[in-house]
Amino acid sequence: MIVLDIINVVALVYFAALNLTYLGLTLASFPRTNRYIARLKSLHVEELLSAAGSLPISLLVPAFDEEATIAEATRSLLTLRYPEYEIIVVNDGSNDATVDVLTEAFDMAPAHRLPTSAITTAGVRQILRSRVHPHLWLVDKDNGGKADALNAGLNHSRYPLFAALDADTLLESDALIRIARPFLEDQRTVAAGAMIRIANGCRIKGGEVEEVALPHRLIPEFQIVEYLRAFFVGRTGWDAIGGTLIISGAFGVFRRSIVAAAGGFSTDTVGEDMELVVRLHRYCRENDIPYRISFVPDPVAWTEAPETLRSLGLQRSRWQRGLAQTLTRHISMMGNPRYGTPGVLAYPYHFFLELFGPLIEALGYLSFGITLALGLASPRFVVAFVFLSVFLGSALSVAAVALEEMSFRRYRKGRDLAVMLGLALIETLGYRHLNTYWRLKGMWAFLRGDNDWGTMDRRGFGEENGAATPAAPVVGETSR
Amino acid sequence: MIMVVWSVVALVAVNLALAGGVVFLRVRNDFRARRWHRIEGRWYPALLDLLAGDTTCAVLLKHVETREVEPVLEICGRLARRVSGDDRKIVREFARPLLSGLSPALVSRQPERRANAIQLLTSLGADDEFHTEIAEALADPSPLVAMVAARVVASRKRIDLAADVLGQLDRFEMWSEAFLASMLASMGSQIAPELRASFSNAESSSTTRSVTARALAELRDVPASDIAATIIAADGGQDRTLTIAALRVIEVVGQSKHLEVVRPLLGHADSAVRARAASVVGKIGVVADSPSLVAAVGDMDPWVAIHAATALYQLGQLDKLRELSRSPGTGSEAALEALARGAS
Repeated sequence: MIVLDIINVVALVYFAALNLTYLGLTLASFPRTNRYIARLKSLHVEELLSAAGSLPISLLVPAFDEEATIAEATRSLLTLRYPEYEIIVVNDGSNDATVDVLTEAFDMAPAHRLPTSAITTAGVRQILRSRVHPHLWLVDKDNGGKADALNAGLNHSRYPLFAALDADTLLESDALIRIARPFLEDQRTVAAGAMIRIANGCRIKGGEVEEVALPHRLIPEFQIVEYLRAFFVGRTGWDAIGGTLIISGAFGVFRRSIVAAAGGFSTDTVGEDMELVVRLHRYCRENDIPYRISFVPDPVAWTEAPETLRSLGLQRSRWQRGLAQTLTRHISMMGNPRYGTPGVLAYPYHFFLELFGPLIEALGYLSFGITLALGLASPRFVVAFVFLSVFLGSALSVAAVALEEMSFRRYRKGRDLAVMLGLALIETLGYRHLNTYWRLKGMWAFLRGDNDWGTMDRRGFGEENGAATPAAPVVGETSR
Repeated sequence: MIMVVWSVVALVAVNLALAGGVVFLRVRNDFRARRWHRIEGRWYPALLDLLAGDTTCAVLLKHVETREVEPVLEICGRLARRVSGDDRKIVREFARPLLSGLSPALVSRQPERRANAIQLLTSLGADDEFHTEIAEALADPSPLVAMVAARVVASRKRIDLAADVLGQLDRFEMWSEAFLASMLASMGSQIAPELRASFSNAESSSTTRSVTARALAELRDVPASDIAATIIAADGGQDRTLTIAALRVIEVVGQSKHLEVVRPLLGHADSAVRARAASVVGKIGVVADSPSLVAAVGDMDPWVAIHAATALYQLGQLDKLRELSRSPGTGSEAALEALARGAS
């Protein structure tokens, strides 16, 4: 009885803390987004960047067994609008014909390129350069995982900024122009994250999203609402208070020199994107380097979301493992004023509410059920639990849809808005519990020391709604 | 039990009301979008007719309703950015009587609105107009407004306001130096005297001097090279930012007489200075500089090695590069890269 009471109180406190934090982030996000949109209107981003003086960017594209999609993905990157950039595809020891496909498609020939940083990676076999697109390079190396491939690309990149991409990420043509803006406006910027959107359901042609629409499948539809909440509320809110700890591995831009000095991507975690951002906070603060890590909502990268429960479960479990690996590695940041907002606010939030959240939630649901079944629950407790665990969460998801509606309005169809609102309202009834279960599995895998990426079934980006390419295991999956 | 049921019903109602709020937002946004499209659909073709000479400004102006002034000016602003020459003059002539409609926006409490207003005002005004408004915007407490004004000054080549922009450079210290330099250089060589004065002024901050140096390099301003050499000689490479900026100038417009201040920097403690110095020697150096460049190709820092190898190639020292390419160490790869780049 006492045990049940304690669990119930802890669960209530947890839900209150989680949702109130999110409420605070939501309240910070509304004016932030409003001002950002107004600012975009007055700055004419393209005009700003069409001028000389924009910072050149190296695009790092790790690829593992991507023979089916790599040529098309690379072609899509070659069409980006940006004054000066290079593409470095890193073949991470593929077992298929990835290198041959690229060599044939872009007339790649052996080349020399001295590495400009010395981050240890698996052996580099050869460097190739396209004879038709001189800014396209291929680093062919032994297998070492996504982070290792990114490090090899980083070693061979030459420009002051680099973008870490997944091979299957579709960038909007002006995404680089837009994500480079924080680096222009603030020299202290060392990293910037972008908006990741889900491409399932969209009409895609020639590597570009032509028409945005919701898919007709529940699992990716739920994820769209989740992504809106994660990016419009989470990322925007944390950015507003300088506490960004996550930049999605699907698309983020970093200052090369700082990342190289900090040691590059960590190869012994499945959450190398978050780990790098947390390490950058530490590195800059421990070395008294003025810095800024930003999130900007207007550059967009499209990614394919899992469409089956199995794939989604694997992805969420892996994200939870990555979170656990990162947070335990940098435990010295916890509540430490030396690390500013990231240490005092963002780290404890992620540690107590995101890392231990699934465990507390699962116990809370169980305890709530038992309390109800035994007839021990007071009406006040039931209302408080339902309010905090179900309704407040739904309200915050509705707020995320509102933020999308007041800013970029990508989903123009009335049906899409109705579906998103409907899903926002019922997301906390079932879907959230599945996530809790997968994240618990992730915690268990972390405790077991599992460091496997696993594989994800992909449909690929076809001409419509993604159906053309065969399923393939990939080095870099979707965003966190 | 009844309390629980009613509470849940109330919570459902609250969430539904929130969702209803989003639907209202959609309806409002759609209404605004339709209104905008209606205005744009009416005025854009009308302005194209004006450009084609099918109608006159006086005729069109009669049809501008008071509540349409700001959107019409927005449409004019967009059109003015897309066209040039006489067409732009016509758009400006049409917009001129409407510009007073921007007055409230110019003093708005929202910096974003002020910034947009100053941009519209200047894109639709004549090249030498609105001196006071732009100068005030440059001194605006909001860095956003000040930057928009600075961009306006640069893009419209308002030399009369160049000194005001240079005076504000320290406020833009967070901005990328490369961007600021390009912005200043876009004003053309007329701004060079102002830039030189700022570059040589020891009282200016090193950020300002570095930005002006980069701008002078972009303008390929020959007299700036002597200033740069004097700065390096006086400073002795102490100020890293300033030294690199000065080297950048010499790299672009320097002469062999400047080598004497550059050569010692090949042994500077900072690798970025060494790399830049190697680049400069590649551009203005002589064959006698080869031994120091060969040594620099073996530098521990890959950037220095790359710049030094490229410099050797620029000095025509292919045999030295071939020799280096056969030697062990990082210098070999740098030499091979320089040879391959030259061959392509």
